[in-house]
Parts: sequence; C-alpha cells; structure tokens
Amino acid sequence: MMPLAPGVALRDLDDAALALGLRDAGVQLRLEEVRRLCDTLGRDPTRAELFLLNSMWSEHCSYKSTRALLKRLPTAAPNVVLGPGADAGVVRLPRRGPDGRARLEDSGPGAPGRCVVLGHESHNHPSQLLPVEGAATGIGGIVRDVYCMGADVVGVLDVLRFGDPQGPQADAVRQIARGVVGGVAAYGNALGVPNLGGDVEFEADFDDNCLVNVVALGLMDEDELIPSVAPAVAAAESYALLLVGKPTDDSGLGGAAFASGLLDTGEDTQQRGAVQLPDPFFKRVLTEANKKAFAFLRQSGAPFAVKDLGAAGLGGAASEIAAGAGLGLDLDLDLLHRVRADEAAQVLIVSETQERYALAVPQAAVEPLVALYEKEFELGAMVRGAGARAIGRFVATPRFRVFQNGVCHVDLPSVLITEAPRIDWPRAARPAPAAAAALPRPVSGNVLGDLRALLGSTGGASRHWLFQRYDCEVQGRTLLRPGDADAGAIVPHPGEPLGIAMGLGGLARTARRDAWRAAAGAVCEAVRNVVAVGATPWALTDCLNYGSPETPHGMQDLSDGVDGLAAAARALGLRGFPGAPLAFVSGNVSLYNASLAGRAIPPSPLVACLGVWCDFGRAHGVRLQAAGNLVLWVGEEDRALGGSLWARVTAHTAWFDAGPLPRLDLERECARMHAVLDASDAGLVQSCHDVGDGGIVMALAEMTFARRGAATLGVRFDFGADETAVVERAFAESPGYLCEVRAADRAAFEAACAPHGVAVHAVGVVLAEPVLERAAAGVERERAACADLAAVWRTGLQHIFDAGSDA
Amino acid sequence: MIRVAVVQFPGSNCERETVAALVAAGAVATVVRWNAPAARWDEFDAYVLPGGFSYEDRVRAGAIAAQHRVLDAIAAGADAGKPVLGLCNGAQILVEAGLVPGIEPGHVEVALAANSTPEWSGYYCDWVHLAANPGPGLRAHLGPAGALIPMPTAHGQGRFTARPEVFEDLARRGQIAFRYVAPDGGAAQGFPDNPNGSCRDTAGLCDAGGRVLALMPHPERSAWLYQVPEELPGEWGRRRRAAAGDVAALAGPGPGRALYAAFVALAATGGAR
Repeated sequence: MMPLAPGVALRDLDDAALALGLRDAGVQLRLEEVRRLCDTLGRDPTRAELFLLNSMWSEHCSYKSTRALLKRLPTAAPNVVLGPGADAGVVRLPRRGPDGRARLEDSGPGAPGRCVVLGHESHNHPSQLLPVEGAATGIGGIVRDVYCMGADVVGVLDVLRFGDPQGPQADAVRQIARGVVGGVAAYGNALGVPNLGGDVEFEADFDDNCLVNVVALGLMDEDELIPSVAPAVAAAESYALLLVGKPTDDSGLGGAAFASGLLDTGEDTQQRGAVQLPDPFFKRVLTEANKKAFAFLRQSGAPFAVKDLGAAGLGGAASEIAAGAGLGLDLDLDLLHRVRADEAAQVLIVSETQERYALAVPQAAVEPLVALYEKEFELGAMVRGAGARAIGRFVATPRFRVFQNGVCHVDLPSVLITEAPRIDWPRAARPAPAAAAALPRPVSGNVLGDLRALLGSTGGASRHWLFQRYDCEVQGRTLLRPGDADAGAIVPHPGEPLGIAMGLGGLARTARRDAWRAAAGAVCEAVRNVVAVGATPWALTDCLNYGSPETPHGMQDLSDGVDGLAAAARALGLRGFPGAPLAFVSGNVSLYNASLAGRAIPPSPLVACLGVWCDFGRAHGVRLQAAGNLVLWVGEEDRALGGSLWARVTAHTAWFDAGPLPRLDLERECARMHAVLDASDAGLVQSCHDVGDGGIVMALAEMTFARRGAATLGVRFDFGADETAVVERAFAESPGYLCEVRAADRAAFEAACAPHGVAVHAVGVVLAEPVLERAAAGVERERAACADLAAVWRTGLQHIFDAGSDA
Repeated sequence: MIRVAVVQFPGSNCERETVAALVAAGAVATVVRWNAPAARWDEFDAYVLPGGFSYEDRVRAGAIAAQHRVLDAIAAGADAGKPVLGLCNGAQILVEAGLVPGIEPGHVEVALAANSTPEWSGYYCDWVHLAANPGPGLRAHLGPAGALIPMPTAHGQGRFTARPEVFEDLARRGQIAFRYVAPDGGAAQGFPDNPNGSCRDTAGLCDAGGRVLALMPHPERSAWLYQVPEELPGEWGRRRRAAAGDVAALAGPGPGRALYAAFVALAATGGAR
C-alpha cells in the first residue's frame, strides 16, 4: 500500500481561515463543500484531490445548480437514441423504405438506423481573455465530444455575442470579435469541418463578457455508437485506460473552475493560464488514427469505451469513464506521456491539454493500438511526445486512485468525484414589468430610408464578411451555405435523397424584458429557421448562458428560461409523431456571465435546431426565384415595435424600451410550422424567409439580396392605404414566414394552410427589375434600387472587422 | 479501370470528397497514407494531392510535405507519364516540390503567397469562375467544358507569384493552365473574380506537358449539381435553379466533374508523353 500524499490542512480551520486557505490554494470550492468533503473522508484532502474536485465540482462540470432544473426539459422522443448525459446526443434519421425513399414516421426504435450526433458547448470566459485560443478550443472541444461517440463531424455552427463596437469599450470589443472569428476560422478550416452557420449580435451588455457558443454535428450508424463509460466486464477482465494524443502539459490549468466563476481582470495573467491551447492540425491526424482504432476495436468484438478529455482533463475523463460503470480505476502517472517529467500530480490530473482521448480497452488491445497511433500514424512526429500509453487499469472496487513516484495522490470513491453536492439556490421573481406604455404611433413617410438605416446597422448588416472567413464547403456535402438560407444544410449521404439542416435561435435585444419569453422565443426562432428551408424540425440543443445563480432574480431567470424552452419544445412537437415533443438531446450551461461591475448579461438561452428532409430537392433558400411570383406572409399582425431593431436603430427609445413585444403564441407558432411544411412538401414554396430582425420589409430586402447582395429581381410590397399603420406593418417583428409562391399556386398554398387555421396575406409581388417598391393600396410611394441598399448591407460590419482581415 | 491514389499527408482534409469525385468520374480511388511503403505507389496510374493543411502549413504551406520521400515516388510517376493533380494544399506541395512549373525540375520557381488584394487579404472562401487556356495534357481532354468552370475556392495562400518575366514566360509556354475569369467568362476584373491577387489571374499552373497540374480552387466541391449555389450567374446557376424540386437532377454532375473526368481520361492514355 503506497502512502497517501500529505493533506492540505483545512479540516480544523474556522470559516475565515478556510476561505483564506482555499484562496491561497487557488481553489473556488465553497466552504460547505470542503467541510462536507473532509467529513466524508475523515481526513484532510490531498492537494491533488482538492484540485480534482475544484474542477469536477465546478458548475461547468457538475451542473450542481442546474441539474434539477434541467430535468424539466423534454429529452425523450421516438427518434432520440441518446439524450443529454453523455458527451453528445444522438438522434435517429428517417430510415429508407424498400422503395429507397425515407419516411419521417420510420425513425422510431427498431432496426439500427443512421444517426446525427449533436453537441453544444460554450467557451465564453476563455474567449473574453484570449479570443483566438478561447474560440478555437471551443470548436476543438465540441468536435471532440462528437468524435468520441464514434461519429464523423460534418459541420459546426457558432453563436456569438459581442459588446457594442461603438461603445466605450469599442477597441476591446472589436479586438475580441476579430479574435473570436479568427479562432473559429483557424480551427474549423484546418480541421476540415464546414461551418454551416452562425449568428452574431452586438450589445453593450456583452462588453465585458462575450458569448461564444458552438454546435457540432456528426454522422454515425446507430450500431457504431461508442459508450462513454467502461464496459461492466472491466470489473472481471483486465481492462486498461489508454490515453492517446498530445503529451500532458500544464495548459488550461483549472479551466473548468475558471469558467464557473466571475472573470476578474485583476487576476488576468493567472486566469489566462486557464485557457487551453488549440492544435487543429494534430487533431485532424488524431481523428484519422482514431477512426482506424475504433474500427479495429469494433472488429475485435470486445466492448470498449471512449471519452474525450475536456473540462477537468485527465482526472475528469478517467473518473467519469470508471464511475459511470460503478468501477474504480488505478492511474499511474509515472506511465503518462507528459511534457515535463517532474510535473506535479495535481497539475497532471486537471490540466486541460487539448487533443487527448481516454479509451477503456481490453489489455490485449493495448499493444496493437499503441503501434497504430505511434507507428502507423506517427503521432510523435507531429507533436513531440504525443502518442498512446496505457496509464491505468480498471478495478471492481469503486475507488479512483492516482499514483506517482510511490505516493498515492488521490484515493476517493469514484462517484464522490462525479456527483457534486447539489445546490438549490433561492429564487425570487422580478417585479412584474410595467404594462406596455400607450405610445403615440410612430409615423414615417420614409420606410425605405428607415430600411437603409437598418441594413447598415450592426444588427441588420450582412454577415457574409464573416462567412467568407470560414470554410463552409469542405467535405463536399454542403447544400445550403450560410447566407443562402435561414438554415445551413448538407446532404449527409450523397447519392440518397436525405438532407439535414441546422438553424439557430436566440435574441439578446429583448431578453431582459421577459426571461421565459427569451427562451421560448429562441426555440421558436431556431425552429422557424429550419422550417423556412422546408426541413422538418427534428431535435434541439441548447446552451444556457446566464449570470450568477447566487442572486435570487438570476436564479429565477434561469428557472423561467428552462420552463420557456420546455414549453416551446412540447408545444411545437415532433412532426409525424403526434404527442411527442421536439426533444433536447444535448446542452450546456454557462453561469457567472456578467459585466465587471457585476451586472448579469441578459438571459441568453441559445438554441440550435436540427431539421431533416426525406427529399432534399424540396430545400429552398431565401433568394427570390421569378418575376410575377407572389410573396405571401404567413403570420399575424400585432403591430408590436417594442424591442425591435427598427426602434433601436431609429432611436425610438421609448418604443424600444416600453413598447409591446411581438406576441409569442406557441399554439399559433406550431400551426404556422405545419402549414409551411405541408406547403413546402407539396412543392408550393419557391423561396422562404422567416420574419425576424427588421420585420417584413427587412426580410423582403434580404430575399432580393440573397447571399452576396447581388439582386437580380425586386419586390413591390403594399401594406394598404392606411399610412399611419405602415411603420408598424413594415418593421414589427411578429413571428412568421414570407413565402414566395407562383401566382397559379396561390389557391393551393392557401388550401395547405387552411386545415391548420393559418391565415395567409399577400404582401408583395416579385418584379423583374431589382428594386424595392412600396405602394399604398396600389399607389407607388417609395422606390429604391436593390444595388444601393445591398451596398449598405454588405459593408455594415466592415468597420468592426476590416482591420482584422488577416485572420 | 484507372487506379488513383489520393495522397494523405498529416493534415490533409479533403480526402473523402476527392475520392468521391474521382469515383464519380469512373476511377478507382484509394486514400494512401504518406508513410506507405515505397512500392505501394507503383500500384497506381495517377496521383491526386488533396486539400488541407499538411504539416500545419509550417514554414510555408506545402513546404514540409514537399520534402517527404513520397514526393520522389510521385515525381518518378510523373516522369513515367502518370498524371498528377494537386488541389489547394496539394497545389502548394507540387509548387514547393518543384514539380510545377518544373522548367528546371526540382527547383522552386514560383511561390504561392498569402492572398492580397486591395479589397481583401487573408483566408477567403467563396465561388470563383475558371477558364482553361488551350494546351496539351489534361486540358486536351476537357473539351468545351473548359470554357467556364465555376467552383469554390478556400485558402489563405493562393497567390501565384514570381518575377513578372517568369509569368510571361509561363504564359508563352502555355503553362498557365487555368485562369480566374469574370462570371461571364470575360477577363477577371480584380477581386472577387481573382480572389487572391494571383499573377496573370492564375488559378492553376502545370508542367510543360500539362500532365502535372497545381490548382488552387476545389473542383470536388463543384462535382455535383447540389453543391452549386443557386444565385450563381450563368449556365450552371440556371441549371441549379431549374433542378429545384428534382433530387435526381440535383444529384447529377456539377461543373467541377469535367475536370476529374479529364484527369481520368488523361490517365487512361497511360505513359504516353
């Protein structure tokens, strides 16, 4: 029996001394957590144990404040193979029938199908401090989560929230925005994973705390799913923990704990050390090697497990892969490939060195696997010291033990590490918002002038500048690239008619006014973006970005947000399966996002929606197709300009702050979804754009611009004779869709909508000339050339990014 | 059947779609790792160096891979008349290895410098239009399809450059195989027609025989109609829009397929040089 490393004397300290002792040790655990730990152990923890639990009991790893709340989300549906809990979620795609065609309804349990694997992650704190590395390792981390399920990653998306590029911290905000975009591009491009979409907002609330959320999707056959926990047989047979990838160093030290606290500029340099270092090039080689290793293991027939090393590094992955199976693990750090031979145990077990995986494999497989990684794929020739080493063995006794130099540094029950004590923070509802003010109706005779201002604003300008920095076409599957349509799309299995789409949702601008609505609205928006391309919403992922859970209002916002997500997911449902919800299959929580002054960011539940087509020929983009077609609005007028982009840009502050928000009616949203999908399935939709930022007129302009702003067609639109209502009709962001429909198909389109009780309004007609023309009851009022408007729209973000063009 | 090796370097990332495009053009294509035994390379009739970031673009893109012994095998194959196609990073490797333009074989005669135009510098991803200049080798098999081939480009270092007289010479020798053009096929009018500031709008450079080609854009991302953006000007955009609703038509060939077909046809002519 090896001696235990000396304990950190904490047990006998009073609260003040304990707090000081923890701070000196760089540990963010709460006092009661440490007291409970000491009581459970009956001794002081070792330094390595303290470091390990500091990471594993952090909010980022343990979800200790949110786990109970998250149970409210619907996570099971017939098409869900694996819900949240593992590294990524797994959704079954519709199976192909004997006629070669896929049917939505044939995607329930049964014969193994083909699957999409989804992961969603935040990298907010790291990106604020080191934007390039933070964003890059955000991508690096989420793709690892998907790879380790056995899937091939076929796309990433990013949701970004930056501060005000014209505000008091303009320089820092721009530098962060440029760095983040550069990091996302550098990692994804080098790895060879297409960027299928992004969403970016600029709000002063994010000056001190940007948000970088990333989504990855992968493809896999259901029977190739790799478990994240060791096989039960490892209790009786000889199983090894094989660590593959880069040699362990001290980078990303305590990253999980760092991401679970408030940013502190006073400790800048110390916190920077918690940001990981990316290596997409090495990851690409490692991915190829893994594919071959997984195939070898599958062929060998013995069960195995794979886990990526992310938050909490080796200690996290190794304890989870054992604890989940009720097993223990003896880890020998002397066998670990590492950069510095004399690195301390507490560093080696929690550093977040990137590009590593842990495999639970039969002892007999170790030798051929090491040869595969080190000889065939020459990992050590890419990065000095990289390779594969068996560093641990699984044991039936459920204890997690770590040895180094004849000393035992960790000796804990496995589940103690992975099951942090939960916290039920008190909640308190915010005071009810004042009733929406009765405001004078905004009047503008210059709708197209206002439109021009919106098009040039950071909220409304083209994101094409960003999209051109990302490789959106590598792998050759891309069907709809960012900017082509409301959702990005790929053909997962070329040669077959199946298609998949990914849409995003979440709006910071109005989120402070209603936390429930922000969340339900994010689901609806992500779903609308998928429906607008004609795909059926198939599954959801979320990332909950909030402030501190320790304030009762903040905790209430979080609770309301989860309720909003759940309500929308249940109300919208899974098409083809009456009564089933649209399930959340993966998610992430990021807390303690706040300004340096301590003000929480607006509630930022950000949602991604997977969509499927049984026939991707039905896909439509935003680009108008033919003169003479009609533009039909599937939506309901409520003239609400509160929180709108129009009110923001035109400085109608009273309207922005206190005007009514657009109605969010989940039942109506669901009806519209079904109506548009039925019409699309029937081939009646030529192009489609959801109505969002900037309302109907903004959407019409974007339909003429398409991806690059090279309009070839125009639109005449008409909101009727009442000029006093025109601003509200033009710019209200009432949720809905604009569908381009052939004049001859109008009746059929209306007939497709009627069973759902959805009204359709003709708002425009497509013109052969690239102009936007506003008429009032048939009388032309305003006119602008699309080329002039598009020039403003195309260059609207240049002032933020042009100095960073060598990203 | 023509057997093509798609050469995987550490950091290649376009192997899958490159194999698929070759297969669609009638070849048998196999991914072969950089450290395969030397004899393995003799089993193939042609070689494709796919896109990616070999050796992390260290030193210069393609520079390290160009020093690998696998390039000796490829050079020997090229000498024996086997066609070689380098795409994006593969193009950078061929240039760094001195296989292209190969006036003095083994000497690096041109550079693929960082993208630089007055409007844009750095990495750029979007569709461009290419036209083949007349010449022997691969181009002789392109036929009328070579007049205008739209495809995506995605790179940070794709600006063919050298002293001006070098490119005058290359033009005279007919080694500027592909040039960037405007969407209507006319001369490129700067960015974005020519996305990187390349000398003489060069998108692809070849050896004297036209059998070894270094091409910066990605024909494998343009080998199926569904890959074509619907707003693309010209004939291919029209075909893409006309195929809306028809999944079989969308799964048909795209403009880049012609390049792979020409490559496979060239390989079928064997060692004729």
